Amino acid sequence: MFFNSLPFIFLFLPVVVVGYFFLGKTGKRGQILLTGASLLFYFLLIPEYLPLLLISIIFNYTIGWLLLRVKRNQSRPDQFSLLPYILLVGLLGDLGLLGYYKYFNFIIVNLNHFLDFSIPIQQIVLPLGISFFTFTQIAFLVDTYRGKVENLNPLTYAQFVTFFPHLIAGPIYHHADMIPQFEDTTKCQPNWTNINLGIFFFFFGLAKKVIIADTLATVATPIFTAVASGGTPMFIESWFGALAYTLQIYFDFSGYCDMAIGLALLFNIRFPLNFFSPYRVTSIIDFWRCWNITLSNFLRDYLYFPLGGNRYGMPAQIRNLMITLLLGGLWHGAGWTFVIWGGLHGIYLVINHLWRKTGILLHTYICWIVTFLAVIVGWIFFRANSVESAIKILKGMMGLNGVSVSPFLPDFGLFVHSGFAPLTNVSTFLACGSIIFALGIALLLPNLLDMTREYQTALVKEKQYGVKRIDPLKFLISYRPSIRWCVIVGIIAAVAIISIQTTSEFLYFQF
Amino acid sequence: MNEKQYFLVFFLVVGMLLGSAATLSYIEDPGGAFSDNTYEGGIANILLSGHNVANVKNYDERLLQKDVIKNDRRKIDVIVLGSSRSMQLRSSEFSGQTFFNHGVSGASIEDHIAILDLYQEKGTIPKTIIIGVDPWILNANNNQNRWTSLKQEYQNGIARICSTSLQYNPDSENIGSNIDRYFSLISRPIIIASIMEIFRESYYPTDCDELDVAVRLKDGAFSDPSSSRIKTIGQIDSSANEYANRNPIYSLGNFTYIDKDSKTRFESTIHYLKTKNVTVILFLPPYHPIVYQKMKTDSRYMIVGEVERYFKDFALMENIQTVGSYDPNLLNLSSIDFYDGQHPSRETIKKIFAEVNISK
Repeated sequence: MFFNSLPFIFLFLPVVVVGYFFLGKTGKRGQILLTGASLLFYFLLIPEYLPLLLISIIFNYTIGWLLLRVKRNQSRPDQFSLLPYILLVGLLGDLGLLGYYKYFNFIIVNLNHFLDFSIPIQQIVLPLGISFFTFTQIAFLVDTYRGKVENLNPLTYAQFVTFFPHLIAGPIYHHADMIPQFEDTTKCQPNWTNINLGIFFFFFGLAKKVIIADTLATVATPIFTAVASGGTPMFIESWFGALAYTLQIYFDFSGYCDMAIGLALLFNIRFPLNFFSPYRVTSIIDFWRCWNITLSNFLRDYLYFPLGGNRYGMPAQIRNLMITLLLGGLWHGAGWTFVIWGGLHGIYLVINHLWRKTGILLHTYICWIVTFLAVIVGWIFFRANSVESAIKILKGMMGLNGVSVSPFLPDFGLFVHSGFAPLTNVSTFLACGSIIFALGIALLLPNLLDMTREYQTALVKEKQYGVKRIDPLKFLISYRPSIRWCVIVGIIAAVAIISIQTTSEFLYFQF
Repeated sequence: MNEKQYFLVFFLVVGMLLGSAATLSYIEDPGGAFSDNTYEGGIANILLSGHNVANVKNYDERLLQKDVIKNDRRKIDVIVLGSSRSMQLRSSEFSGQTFFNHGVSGASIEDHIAILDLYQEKGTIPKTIIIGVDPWILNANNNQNRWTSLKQEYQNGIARICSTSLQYNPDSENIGSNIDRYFSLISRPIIIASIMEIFRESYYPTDCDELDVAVRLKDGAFSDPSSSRIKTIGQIDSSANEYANRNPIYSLGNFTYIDKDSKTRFESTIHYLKTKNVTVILFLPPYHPIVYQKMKTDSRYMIVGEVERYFKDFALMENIQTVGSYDPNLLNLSSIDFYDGQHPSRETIKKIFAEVNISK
C-alpha cells in the first residue's frame, strides 16, 4: 500500500485524516492515532520488519534519554565524560543495523571476490525506509549530545520517527523543525487552507509519478535491461535510455516529495524543502542545493563539517568533499555503481569549487548544459546494473557503438537502417514524446513551491529561492482557491487516479 | 470562493469524473467482472449452440477459450493449441471425433499451459492435443503478453506441471480481489476498453463458413474475411514482402538464443501430458517462401532453423509425431498456398493434415 495505490487514497488516508481531526479535539489522542496509523502503514507495507522499526525507536529513544539525563544531572559532572561513549553506543547501534541490512552482502561479495574467501551470502531483505529512519535518529542523537535537544516525550518521539508521509523515503527532517509542530495541539484542528493545499500537492505529485515517471520507465527500463542482458545500444537508443531515466528519476522523486508535502499539510505539518527544480540549476553546487536537499544537509552537517569542511584549505576540502560524496553514493545502495556515481559527483563538486576560484564566468546556458550533461552521466552509473553496462551506454551516447536510423530514411552509407531503437524496439514516438513533454515541464513550468510561495507550504529558507536557475519562459503561475484551480486540480486528480494501473514503487523506496 | 467551497467543488469535480468513468465501466463491464454476460461469453454461447459467429473482432480470444471450455458439456477428443497460424485446422480433418480449435493470436507457451489448465480444472483432458509450435514460443523477447488474460490459469497450470518449482496459492490473490474488482472500475485500461465497447460492431450467428467478414467457426477454427482469403499471387507476395521486411519479423526480435526457461516449460508440459496418456502432435506451421528465405539468409532469424531442429529432435526423443515444417520448400508449397507471409491457407492446412491419422 504505497502512496500511489488506490487503497491508500480511498481507504487509509481518508480514515486517518478524519480520525485525526475527530480525535484531535481532545489533545493527545490525535498524536496517538497518527503514530498508530504510521505503524499500521509500515506494517501493511512490510509486516516482518515492524518489530525492527520499533526496536530502533526504543533503542534510540533510550540513548537520547540517557544523554539528556547525564547532561541535566549537574550534581554529577563526573558523568559528563560518559557522554561520548553513550553517543558512540547509539551510533554503533544505528550504523550496525544499517550496515547489516544494507551492506553485509556487499562486503561479503567483495571479500569473496578480491580475497578469494568463500563466505556464504545471507538472504537479507532490506527493510523499507531503514536509511531514512536511521539517519533521522542519528541526527537526533548527535544534536542531543550537542545540547540542542531539551526534552524528550516518548509519544512525540515515536511520531517524529514514524510519521508516515516521510517514513519510507524521507525527507530526512530535523527534530528542531518537526517536534514543535508535533507537540502543537492546535495542529489537530482542521485547517481548510492546508487541506486544499495538501490535496493540490498530493495529486500533482501523484500525476508526476503515475503519468510521467511511469511512462518514462517504459522507455528507460527495457533499454537498461537489454544492456544488462548483454545488448549493445546504438547512439539514439543510448540517448533515449539516458534521458528517459534522467527524467524518470526526476519525476519519480519530485512526485514523491510533493505527495509527502501534501500529506503532511493535510495534518497541518510543514515538511522541509527537499526538491527544488534541480535540472534548472547552472552548477553542480546548486544541483545539490536542490536535489534531495535534506540528505545533502544531513551529509553536510553530520559528515562534511565534522571532517573539517572547507576550514583547512583546498586540499582538505577536496578530501572532505570526496569522502562525503562517496559515502553519499554508498548510502543510495550497496554497489560499485553507486560508489562511482557518488565519486563522479565528488569530482564534479571539486571542479566546480576550483572553477569558481578562477573567477571566469560563462554564459548561463553553457553552465546549464554542462551541469545537465554531468548529471545525466552520473545517472547512467546510478541506474545501470554494472559498471560495464554503464560504459556501454556511455559509448553508445558517444556514437562508438554505431548509429541506427529509420529504414525509411535515405541511405548515405553512414548509418545502419534498423530503426532508431534496434535493441529494444522501444517506440520512437513514445520515447521522443515522453522525453520532450517531461523536459518541457521540468524546465519551463514553475514548480509547486513557486506556485504556492505565499502559503509557505514547506519549510524553506529564503536563500533557497535565490538559487540561480534558468527560466526561459518566465511563467508566473500562482495557485489560488478559485473555481479555475478547483477544476484543474480535480481533472489532474481524476486522470492521475485512473492512471494508477499496478502499484509501481517509487525509486527512492529502495534506498 | 472560500476554502470550504473550494474543497467541496473539488470533490464534486473528482466525484463526477470518477463516477462517470466507474458507471461506464460497470455498464460495459469489458472484463466480465460484474456479470457473466460478456462479449466473449456471448460468442461462446453461440459457438456451443452449434452455430458459427460472424463479424468477430476486437475481442479477447483468451477469454473466449475460457468461456468455451467452462460451458462446453461435451467430452472433447482432440484439441488444437496454437496461434492464428494453426487456426485453419478444422474438425473435418478429424471426422468422427469431437474437436475444438483453441488457437489464439500470438499464442505463447503461457497460453498453452493456461488453456490446458482450464481442461484440468474441468477434469477432462482431451485424448489428443495438437500443439502448433511457432518459433517465437522459445523466444524470451517475443513481446507477447496477451496471455495475461489467463494469468491465474497459467499460474495454476505451471504450478501443476512444475509442482516443485512454483507453488501458487490462488487464495492469496482472492483476498484483495473483491476490493480490486471495484477499484478496477476506475482503472485506465478498463475505462478505455469500456469506451471501445460502445463503438464495437456486434457479432451475429451464422451457418456459413466463409463470408466477407471474419467468422469464428463452431469448432473454434477461424475463417478469414474474403479480403484476406481471396488474393492474387501478386497481392500475397506483396504482403509477404511487407511481413518479411518488418523490423523485427513478428515476435522474432532479439531471438539470438533458445530461451532456457521457455524450453523447460515446454518440455515439462509435454512430459506432464505424457503422464496423463495424452497423444501429443507437434505442428510446425509453414511460412511463406519469401519470409522463410529471409529467415535463412538474415542472421537475426537464422535461429528459426535451429528451433525447428530442436522441436523435431525433441519429438523424436519423446516418440511424438510432428507435422509440417517452417520451411515451405520441404512441403512443396508456393505463394498460392498462403494468405500472407505467415498464414497458410485453409487448403494448405488440409493438405498437410491429410496424412495424419488419429485413432479414436
